[in-house]
Amino acid sequence: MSAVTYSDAQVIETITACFVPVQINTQEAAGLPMVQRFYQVWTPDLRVASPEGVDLAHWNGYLPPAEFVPQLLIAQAQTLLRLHDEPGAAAIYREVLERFPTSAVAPEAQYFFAVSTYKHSHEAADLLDNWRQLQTRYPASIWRVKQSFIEEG
Amino acid sequence: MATIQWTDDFDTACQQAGQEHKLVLLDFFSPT
Repeated sequence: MSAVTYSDAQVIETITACFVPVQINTQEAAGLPMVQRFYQVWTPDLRVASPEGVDLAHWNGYLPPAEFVPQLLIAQAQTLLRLHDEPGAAAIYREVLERFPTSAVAPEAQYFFAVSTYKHSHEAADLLDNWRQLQTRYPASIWRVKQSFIEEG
Repeated sequence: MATIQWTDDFDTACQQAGQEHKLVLLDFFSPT
């Protein structure tokens, strides 16, 4: 991760702008309390936590910069959504769809863009119209399947 | 070129995140 992803200018810019970054070496004794506190089992292991120290989004595994940035934005948006900042979450999901429409997490962004927009407006069309975008933009995605009950009947 | 300014102090990072209206990115790693 350090040699490629964390050396990428876009990755550095995204992390620096929105996060206070913490690294824990899981192979050192000093890292053990954090490993135990967060039930950590496998690296790379990335968490996005609230200022209260609560882990609200996470993923495992190496990602190159082109996938790391959208994944990080998704985790940021998911955290804001869980903290009930729906407009903030929707703006970041939209950013993922505009900047990284072919990334692996783009269908998830489309799904939760609909959710965050709806939870702010309480207008059913905001949910359903944006979910329907999954049917045309990402038809093979598991996130299309997760809204497929609206396609029936 | 700019680099990421990592810390290993999670609790202080949380305090800083609250003051700067940011979130905390926590990276568990094992050196290879």
